[in-house]
Amino acid sequence: MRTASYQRAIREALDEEMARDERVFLLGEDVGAYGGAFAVTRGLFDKYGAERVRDSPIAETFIVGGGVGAALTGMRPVVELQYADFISIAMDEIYNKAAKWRYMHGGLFNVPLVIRAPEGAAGGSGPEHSQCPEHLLTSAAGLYVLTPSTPADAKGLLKSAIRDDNPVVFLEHKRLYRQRGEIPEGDHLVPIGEAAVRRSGTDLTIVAWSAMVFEALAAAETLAERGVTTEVIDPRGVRPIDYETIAASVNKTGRLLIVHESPLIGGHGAEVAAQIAESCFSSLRGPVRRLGAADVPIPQSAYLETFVMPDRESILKIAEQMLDGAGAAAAGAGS
Amino acid sequence: MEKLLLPKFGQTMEEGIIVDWFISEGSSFSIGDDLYEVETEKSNVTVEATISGTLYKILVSAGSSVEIGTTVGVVVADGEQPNPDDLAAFLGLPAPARVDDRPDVGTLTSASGSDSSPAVSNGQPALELAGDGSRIASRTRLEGQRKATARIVAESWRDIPHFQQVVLADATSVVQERAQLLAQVTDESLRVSLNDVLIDRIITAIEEVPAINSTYRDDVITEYADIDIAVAVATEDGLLAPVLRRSNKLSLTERAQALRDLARRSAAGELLAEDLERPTITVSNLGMYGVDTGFALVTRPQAAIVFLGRITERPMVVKGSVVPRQSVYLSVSYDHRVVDGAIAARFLSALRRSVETERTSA
Amino acid sequence: MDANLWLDLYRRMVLASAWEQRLLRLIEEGQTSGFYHAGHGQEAVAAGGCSALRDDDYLLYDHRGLSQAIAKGIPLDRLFGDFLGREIGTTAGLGAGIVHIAWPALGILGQSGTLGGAFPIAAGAGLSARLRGSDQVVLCFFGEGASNRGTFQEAANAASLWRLPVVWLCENNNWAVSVSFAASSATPNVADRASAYNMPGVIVDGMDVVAVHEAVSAAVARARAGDGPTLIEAKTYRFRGHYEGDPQTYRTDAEVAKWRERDPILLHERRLLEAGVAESDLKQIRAAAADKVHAAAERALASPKPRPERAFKGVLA
Repeated sequence: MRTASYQRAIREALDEEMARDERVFLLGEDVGAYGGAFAVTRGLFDKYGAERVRDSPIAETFIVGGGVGAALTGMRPVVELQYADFISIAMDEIYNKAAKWRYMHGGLFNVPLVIRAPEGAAGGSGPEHSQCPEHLLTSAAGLYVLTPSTPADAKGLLKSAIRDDNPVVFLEHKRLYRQRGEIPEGDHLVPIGEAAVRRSGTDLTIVAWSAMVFEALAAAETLAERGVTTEVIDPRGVRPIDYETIAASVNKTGRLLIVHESPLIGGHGAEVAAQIAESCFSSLRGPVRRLGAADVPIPQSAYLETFVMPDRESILKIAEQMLDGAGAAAAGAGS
Repeated sequence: MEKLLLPKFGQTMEEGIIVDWFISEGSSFSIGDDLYEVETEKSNVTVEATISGTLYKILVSAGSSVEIGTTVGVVVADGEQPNPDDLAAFLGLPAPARVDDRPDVGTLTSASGSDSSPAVSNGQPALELAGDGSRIASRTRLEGQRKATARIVAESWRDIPHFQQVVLADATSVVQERAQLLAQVTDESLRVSLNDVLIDRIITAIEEVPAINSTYRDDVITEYADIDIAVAVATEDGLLAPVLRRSNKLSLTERAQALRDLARRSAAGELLAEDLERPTITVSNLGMYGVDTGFALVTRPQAAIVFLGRITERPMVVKGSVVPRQSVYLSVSYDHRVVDGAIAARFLSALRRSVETERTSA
Repeated sequence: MDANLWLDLYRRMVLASAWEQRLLRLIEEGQTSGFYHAGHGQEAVAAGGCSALRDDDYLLYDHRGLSQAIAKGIPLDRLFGDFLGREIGTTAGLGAGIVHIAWPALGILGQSGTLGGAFPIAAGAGLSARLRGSDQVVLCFFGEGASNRGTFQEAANAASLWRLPVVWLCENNNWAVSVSFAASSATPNVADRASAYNMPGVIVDGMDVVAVHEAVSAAVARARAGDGPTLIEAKTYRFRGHYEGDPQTYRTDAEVAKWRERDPILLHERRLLEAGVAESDLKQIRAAAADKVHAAAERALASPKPRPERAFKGVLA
């Protein structure tokens, strides 16, 4: 075990996979000598050269579509969109080409393409550089969509993604790049499709993704002081979702709070809520609750930005409502 | 033998109307040749041959609407001469009855049949004899427009429970309004006819009783916000009823111009499919032939038809005295599934009032 | 004259034409959906272009007829199978028809259902060849209408920038459904745009199969040598509507008739006869094509329809 940052963990994954398999190459804006807008690919250009760590023109449909073309013809590209928000620029390439090419052509091809992108609000980047757009891909049959929260997961999931023969959208959270965590030694792989139980408990289940995992854990700490034990589950992605783990937890606790930074309305939390309501109805002691970003574009002001996102406070508030004041503030102060 | 089938063009097409055949029975054709034109809900399309051969039989003639996949014609190899039994078997039909056995039905396949035509001694050209000996003056196969019309009329008669109401209205104000409008106008193109004025009065009445302006289809009565009025026009091809679209939104003179244009195009055979489709109500005026009144058939799926007779002087009782008055019989026939007697009476009453109300142009 | 080449070109065109004729009959019979974009009239571009390729070169074909895939050698029974939605189809019953047939063994990479989706993919396939040190070439067909898409700009720029082995082959038949090229494009020719990407732009008579072959061969050689992409614009014409049932109200019968005088198959026939090839040889080629098509259709018609479960397979590797 070793401690390293999330950003470094991703770099290591890229490095290890490029060393292991010469078919892996990188394509994106400023990923070459510059080392990437968020310094993730720093050093890889020096090690692997300009052919395999390739600076792209500003051309998102080419970055993704070209990635598809290369993946169809024997390569294993890892392309980068400089901001996850740019998924919408290349949506046809992601949602209809990468995701569907295999199926449409009768299974004759694989598309072993990874599309990396940094997402999330990071102190004033504004409405078009701060989004968490994974919910837009909830229905993308044929695509994996991953959102690692810890350095260990970032490394392990990215390595798995690169080795997987299916197209993967890999969303890294900007605020988490600096975060440090323990990473296992050796060829560390995290299987795609398994949720992580970040904290165990019996009174309440919180399902959270990416940066929100830590907000949920902070809220869980506070609740623990009041004698409430919270189970925090990190599904690690939006496609596929490990409903088995989530359902097992909800059947145990009877309460489910879903938290993501993606918008509340149309967010992937709604999908999880619906599925769990169907499968665990008799276990539920109350309605499934969700928290997500408000139904507004993210404000450019770093100050105002904080009011449209969920955070540990808002999570705590909803959790308390769900717990009927058990262990929380007395009913009279509950409004 | 091969079948010519009506292809499905596009994803929503369910049926088509054969507009015209470009080749006749007995002609041979190659792949790619134009065979016939079909009208779909979206447009007219020319259908090309996908096989080569000789067109042995046209099974669906122009004017008929059929579903996609229907066999519209039969093709044989050049020179092949099949017999009717083969044809029937190919199409999966029972063998045809021998029509020439029956005395009261002529052989309809050709005018120059096997009947003998004895010369007539007064020098007139010999007439054809039917199987029973009666002399045939002419024989016309219904095709295209006439065939379609016949079919629609038969269906209307068969499916619609008709009833009719009639009233005699004082047409003085109609005659006066028309005279007044004529006096104000020097431009030929702005002339207005008695029929135009009557239609204007009819539209007023429909607006008062909009339930009349409906269609009936598959247990559903649809009432329309606009009055798309079909106005019967006599042409060489029979009675056509081009549609004046949204007539309620036009002024009297605008309507007159539009109707004149429709009449001209009807006579010239220049009507488009859209000119004939989807009227919400029909008006038929045979007054120019001297008809007083009559029982007109409702054209399905409309709910009503207004039949106008001639405007002429008739004795009417006004304030106890019998006086000559310009008058017109207003006859309206209805689909009883859509309109009951009370609504019909209301409409007729509104119609009479509208016709009789004086309208001085300000 | 290169007799072998010329006859080979004739063979490819005749086969594509015969195949399409049979398909049109299947459409009329209702055996397959009428969703088809006939390629009649454009056979020379397909035959001329694909005959310049090796089996391992990549093909991004477009929606106008199947003559491109046929010219590259795709098995005809598989093709019929796709249209009929039978298991013998390249997509094993998914019924790809006009859009998603594929044959990896011959580098036929499939097709994007949205026009212009092929451009970045073609550039990516070229990049792949480059990275693998292979001299494979990518031939990307597209219509003049699709060349207005932003994806063309991005892909052409990248391919030229890195001198990727891509040949951009535009079939300019002037009509994108109902709108002419002149009414939708700022330049009079598609090839005019080549200089914007620093690549050669070539205009060729798309009805002359030999001319097309020569132009594409030169571009393929260039690409294989590592000298980068070429934009070839073949002026051609489609004799049938954009789709089956297209009322074609946007163009005159006279215009169609004029272009039909330059039917590429007839032009090439005349050329062959003038060069001394016997009419009987040509007849034989046509007969052989008809037989091949007939046999392929029979095989496909005999193939079963897939079970319903087929719809749920093949999403993930």
